[in-house]
Formats: sequence, structure tokens, C-alpha cells
Amino acid sequence: MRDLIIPGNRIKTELKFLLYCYIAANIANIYAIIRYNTEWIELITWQRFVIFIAFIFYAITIVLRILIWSIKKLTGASGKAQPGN
Amino acid sequence: MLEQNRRAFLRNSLLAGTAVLTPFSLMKLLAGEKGKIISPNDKIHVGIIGTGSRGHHLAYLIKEYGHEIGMEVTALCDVYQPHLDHTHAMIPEAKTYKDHRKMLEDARELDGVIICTPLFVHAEPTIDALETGLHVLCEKAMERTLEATYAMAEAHYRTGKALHIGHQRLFDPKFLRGMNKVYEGDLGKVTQIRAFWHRNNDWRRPVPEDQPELERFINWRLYRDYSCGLLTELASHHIQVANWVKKDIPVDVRGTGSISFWKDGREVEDNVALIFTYKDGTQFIYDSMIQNRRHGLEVQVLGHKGTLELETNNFFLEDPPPQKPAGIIQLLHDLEENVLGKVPIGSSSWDPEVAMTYKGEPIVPENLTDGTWEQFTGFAKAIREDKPIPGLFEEGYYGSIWTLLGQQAIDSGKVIQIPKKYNISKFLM
Ligand SMILES: NC(=O)c1ccc[n+]([C@@H]2O[C@H](COP(=O)([O-])OP(=O)(O)OC[C@H]3O[C@@H](n4cnc5c(N)ncnc54)[C@H](O)[C@@H]3O)[C@@H](O)[C@H]2O)c1
Repeated sequence: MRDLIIPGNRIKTELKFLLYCYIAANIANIYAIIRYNTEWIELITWQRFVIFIAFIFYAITIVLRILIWSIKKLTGASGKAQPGN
Repeated sequence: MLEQNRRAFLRNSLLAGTAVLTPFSLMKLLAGEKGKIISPNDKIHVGIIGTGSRGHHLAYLIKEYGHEIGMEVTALCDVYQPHLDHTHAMIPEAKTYKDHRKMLEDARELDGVIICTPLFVHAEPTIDALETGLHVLCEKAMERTLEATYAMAEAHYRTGKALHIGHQRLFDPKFLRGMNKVYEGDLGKVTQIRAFWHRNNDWRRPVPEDQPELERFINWRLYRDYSCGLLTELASHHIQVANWVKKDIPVDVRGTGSISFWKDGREVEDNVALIFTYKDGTQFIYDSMIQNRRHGLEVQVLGHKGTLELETNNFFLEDPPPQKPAGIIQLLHDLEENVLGKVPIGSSSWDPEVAMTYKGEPIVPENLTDGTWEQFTGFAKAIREDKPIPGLFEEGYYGSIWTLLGQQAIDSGKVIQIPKKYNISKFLM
């Protein structure tokens, strides 16, 4: 079986996405605490749930990115310049 | 701050709370003459008879906090010199005596007496002090026998002097508030009370190696002639509380007990269980042991609307108010409804299963005291007004009598009722 090689750049990008998702989940939690007037301690006590939400966000970004990539592939659009141009 | 809260609480509710503890009809004072009424500015002088473990502790409390209620210890009495010396070293200005009668001869210098002798030495100094015209705070339980307990009651009613029994839960803010909850119906109909007191030690006090003959004198609570062990030393407190909850005394008691672990020559059980029944069918189930301390001590008052756990300051409703879910859960809920409409995903809701644990609520906001000090507030009030606090003595009396009846139930294996002659309602008419 061939070894799967994930380039360093890709790992960095994915970690960045994960971080953004975690921040977004916390922002959602803060928003919910203010909106529903609940306890600020939930910022800590609901961390496990916030991490869970962060992974859901991350999964959504994967789906979205695959979709965008597929659409681009299908329409022939490419980020790179065509040879000869 | 805490100290201030405690004092304010006591001022506002403790003695008001004594209205709560009048489960029996108001006591008619039999006293003929009123005696001296001390003005609130005068110092109250008390003597302590029995300066062992409890006597020393109470002497310490009065020395430290007595200024709050204008009380000071001016006389100490004990037959055992090392104990007398130990407490005298703490309060050197107090006069010392080896015979309580000698102390009572100097009674004009005293306003009250606190009795912390072993159980079987409660009646004699108590009756002597009452007959000398002094108010008495005697440690629980009242005495070793029904006759001696009754004799103390008779002396109290005859002299009209206060006789407080050291069931300090009567002055414990969480118990006072708890009783209010019971009487105001917050618990609904109370049909069961459960209490237990568990420890894990042999309950022995060290005896000087060169004086083995002091064994029974020092470890009096382990021998039947002097004590009923776990019942008179511990259960008495909770039996008083159960009567207080029910505003009544039991119809009967049944029980069992054994020396099942500490087989070291002691004569009192190390493992007991009792069931008291009240006339409305309520059961008070009690057990005590000294070979496992996992559950410590507790009194649970169980009603159809709520539960009190008095020792640990907890109140639980049977139908707790709905708990507000965490903000993030509410947000998900709204998103589910607004974005997805009513279309369920997988199941009717995709909220994660989050346990809604109801932890109850405290009976009093701060559990600062067990009532031991506060009982002196009541004692000082009785001394200053030269009259007993209505209803207080009866709590101690029936708490003590039913403790002894519990022992009878264990010894005889029979269901025991209170003999008519120990009913003191005749003194209250
Ligand atoms: N309310 C409570 O929570 C509580 C707690 C502990 C003890 N107690 C009660 O306090 C009482 C004393 O218990 P303790 O643990 O201090 O016992 P202890 O044995 O440590 O002290 C009793 C003292 O009384 C002295 N004494 C005996 N006969 C006497 C007499 N004729 N005249 C004067 N002194 C005499 C003994 O020498 C001893 O110093 C008991 O009734 C006990 O149930 C109540």
C-alpha cells in the first residue's frame, strides 16, 4: 500500500480551519449566553459541547470546500493560468 | 460580615423561632415568687458542673463569646482534679469546687448553672440547683432512668426555674428554618422521618495507665449502669427533632441492637435500629453504628411535596421548578425550529441528552453554626426574664424519655409505649 503523504501546508491550513471553527463556536456560545440571559460560567462548563460544535463546523467546512472544489473542477475553472496564455 | 449576619439572624429569628418550637401547649408557670430580674446590662454569672470534654468546650465558648450576651463563668466544679485544673487554667478567675453542693452554697453569686456531668449524674445537681433558685442548662439526654428524668421535670415545674436540655438543634438556624418549612406546608404531608448517626471508632477515652480503676469513671458511656450508649449520647438529639417535626410524641417504639463489632467488654450496643410510630401513621426510622462512617449523620424529613436534609442544610422539592437549559442549547433549539421548521432530524429533536440534575437548595444561605452557642442566647434570655422559654423544656423531656423507651424496646424485643405517669401534660394545665 502506498503511504499517504499530507504536505505540511495542508496540515497548517486544516489546523487553521479547526481554530477558526473553535473560535466561531465560542462566539456562538457567548451570543447564546447574552441572548438567553444565562450564566457566564457556561463559557467553561459547556466547553466540551463547544468543542463538539467546533468539529461540526469543521465538518461543514470540509463539505463546503469539497463542493466548491468539485464545482470548480466541473466548470473547468482553475486557479492556475492556462498554458500559452 | 459573617459574624454580623449570624447575630442579625439570631436577633431577628432565633427567639422569634422559639414560637416555632411550642409544639405543646404553653407552659403554665408554677412559680410563686418571681425572684430577681437581672437588667440586660448586668452580667450573668454561671457555674459549670462537670468540666470534662463538653464542660470544657462550653466554658471555652462562654469565655470567648460570652460578652455578646453578658455571660461569664465564675464557678467550676468537678470531682476529677485533672479536668478541673484543665478548665481552671483557661478561666483562672473562676472559683473551683469539688462538690456541687458547696458551689450551690455560694449560689447568691450565681444566676445559672450548666451541668455537663455524665448522664447518670444529671438529676442530683440539676434538682439541687433548681431548688436553690437557679436556672439550669443541663446537657442531654436528661438522665439514665425514667424516674430520674421525671424527678427533674417535677423539680422544674415546682420551682418555676428554667431547665434547658442541651439539644442544641433547637437553636440551630437551619433546623429553625426547616421547622418553619414543615409547619408552613412546604413539604406537604410528612409521613416519614429518617435519621442516622454513623461513626467509625471505638468511642473510648484514654484511661491513665497507672489508674486502670478509672475505666468505668472515664468511659462511663460504654457501661449500662451509667448510659444507654448510642441512644442517650447520640440518638436523643434526633428523637427530639422528630418530635419537633411532628409537634407530637410517638405512640410506640420498636427496636433492635447488638454489640456486633467492638467486643471489648463494653455493655452498650455498637449497632442499633429503632422505629417510632406517630398517631397519624408517620414512621421515624433511626439507626446508629460505630463501625462505618460513610454516611455520617443526617435527618431526612420526607413529605409528599419535598424533603429536608437538616444536618446538611438541604431542601429538595418533589417537583423542582423547570431548570433553564444552557444558552447554547436554547440557541440550537431556536435554530432547529426557525431554520429547519418542525422537520425533525432523526428523532423529534437533536438536542444531546443532558442530565438535568436537581441539587436542591440550602435551607439557610450560610450554614455557620450547630446551635451550641446559640442555646446560651436562649438560656441568657430565660435568666434575665427569670422564666423558662415556653415549650422548650418539653422538647428536651420527651426527647429524653423516648430515648430511654427506645432502649427498653431493644432490651425487651417488645413494642413499647409511654407509661402514663411519665406524661407531663398534667403540669401544663
Ligand atoms: N449536646 C451535645 O452535643 C453534647 C456533646 C458532648 C457531650 N454532651 C453531654 O455532656 C455530658 C458530659 O459529656 P462529656 O463528654 O463531657 O463527659 P466527660 O466524661 O468528658 O465529662 C464529665 C465530667 O463530669 C465529671 N463528674 C462526674 N461526676 C461528677 C460529680 N458528681 N460532680 C461534678 N463533676 C462530676 C467528671 O469528672 C468529668 O470531668 C454528657 O451528658 C454528654 O451526653 C453533649
